[in-house]
Amino acid sequence: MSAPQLPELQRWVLTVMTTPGGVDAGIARAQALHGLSAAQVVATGYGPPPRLRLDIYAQGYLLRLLECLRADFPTLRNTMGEGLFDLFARAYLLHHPSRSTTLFDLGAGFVPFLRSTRPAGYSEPGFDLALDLAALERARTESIRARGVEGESAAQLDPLLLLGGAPLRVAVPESVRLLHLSYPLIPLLEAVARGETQPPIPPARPTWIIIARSHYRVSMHELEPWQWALLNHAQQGAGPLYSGVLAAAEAVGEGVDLLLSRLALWLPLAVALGYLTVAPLASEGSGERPGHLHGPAAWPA
Amino acid sequence: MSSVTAPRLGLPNLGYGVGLRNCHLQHIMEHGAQVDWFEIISENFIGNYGWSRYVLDSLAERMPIVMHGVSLSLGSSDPLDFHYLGQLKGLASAVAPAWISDHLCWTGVAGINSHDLLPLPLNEESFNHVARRLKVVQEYLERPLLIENPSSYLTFSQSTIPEWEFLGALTRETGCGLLLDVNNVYVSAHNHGFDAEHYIRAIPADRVVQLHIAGPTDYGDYLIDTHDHPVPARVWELYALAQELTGGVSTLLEWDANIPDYPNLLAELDKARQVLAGRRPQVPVAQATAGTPLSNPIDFQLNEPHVRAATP
Ligand SMILES: [Fe+2]
Repeated sequence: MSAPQLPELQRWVLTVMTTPGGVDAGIARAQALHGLSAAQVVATGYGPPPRLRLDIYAQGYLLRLLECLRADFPTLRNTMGEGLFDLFARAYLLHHPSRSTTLFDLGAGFVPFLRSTRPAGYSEPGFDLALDLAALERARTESIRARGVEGESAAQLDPLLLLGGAPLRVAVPESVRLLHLSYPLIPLLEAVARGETQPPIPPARPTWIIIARSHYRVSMHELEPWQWALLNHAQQGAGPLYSGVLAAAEAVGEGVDLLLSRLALWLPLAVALGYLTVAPLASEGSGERPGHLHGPAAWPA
Repeated sequence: MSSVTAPRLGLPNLGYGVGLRNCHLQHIMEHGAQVDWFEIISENFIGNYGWSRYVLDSLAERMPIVMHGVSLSLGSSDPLDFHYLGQLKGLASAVAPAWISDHLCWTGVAGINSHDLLPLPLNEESFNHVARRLKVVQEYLERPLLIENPSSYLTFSQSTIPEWEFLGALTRETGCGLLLDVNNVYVSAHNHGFDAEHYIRAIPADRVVQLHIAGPTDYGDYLIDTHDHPVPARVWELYALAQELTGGVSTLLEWDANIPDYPNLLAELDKARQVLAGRRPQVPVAQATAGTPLSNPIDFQLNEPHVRAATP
């Protein structure tokens, strides 16, 4: 038999590491798949036997990735219970091993995976709660690292300009995440972050949430449905503020004039919190790249 | 080319540094760096435009930064990942690091990343494979790379070349520099029964650009590179030897789990200065308590500050 080559040896080791059920199951599967025993691959003659040496890598593989998911979803884990969380996390890692160069991506597929485990027609409030929590915690993790509006001069927005009817263009920064959830979960996340182990689960209520970043601080807030609808519209692509107002009015069944007056009060705050950027529509014709997300650096005086 | 014969590839001795970790960012911004340089985990800052990246950018304006990667997977039989290399190059052009390093290892195969630094069979086949890829990477990044010796817990029946010879030949063949982790030498020597001092004496000292020091954990039959304890006496001895042989190179303290607060981290780094002044801290190797060992801990978004400050 010719000596096994690098690709074969690497597949053998990775099979041992990633097979569920422990190192013995991994060694047996690697032998079945690649025709090599542990003694043929791992040098013997000094110190611990091959099985123990392989076990360090096999245990480390699972533990490292589990730790990463646990760190990314602390509230979900607290609410589900550690045992149930780990069960789902292990199943996820088995079906979706990392293919990324960064562990930041590991949790990205966890929410769709959880959703996919729901049997057809199965309805259970605890399941909806878990999905909401997972989505919220993943969105927060993404907002921490995404491109934000920091580094751009703060836009000073004059509400009178808005009321005066100047055509404005709005854009939503990449650091913003919008979620429509079945539970108001922000207090629960905050309680777990404070170290509470059994915070009360809130009763179900439709909730519109924004996660945004301003001065590198990530914050979560509940929005009114019209605010959420307006931002959701702008998140699909930067465009005139007025078309966002029309979309929001249609979505919530309110009058355009009423929303415009509310908007005049809310918009300066929304800009300050990093929910959106605002610029005169005209700037697109003056060298501003169309579709540029963040608008010009400064609001004109 | 002067770097062929100059010590450290002609790169500077940066002095004493620590790994930049999320849990220390606030302290560093408030009280200053208090070290000569920082090493970052490159992957933590690729595609990162948040607070930690802001801190890095402001530090990079006033002090040396070194980029230390964990995902190059130099020894993998998968093709090189040029998407990743492009990201690495982009980060390098933004951060302007003193140098870039990664490990003599593979991290996965068949597209799967284990996020561990896995040992290679060390033989002619793997040497040619690694050397060929390293040349491609260095050409792409337009700079020599530093290659670090990993801790390992197994060696392959197919290995025919000792690790120190493999690394020596690699630097001659490719012009790469070496990041000598004296703790990893200590761990691997213990686990595989070779002489750590012999390893360090056999490494071409003029190609060593940087040293790593860290504290491992004793699990009885073997040592694990846990990066979660003070540096033990034996590692300090090897560190002193490496500094003597190289004539002085950059020192980096790694601490990735149970991370102490910044003042205590600096106190541990200060021991390196004391060692060069002739003192030897008498610290035993940490003994394992309960729990599963986690080798090669990788600082990821654990402890990423979700909320930077308590109040607006
Ligand atoms: Fe190291």
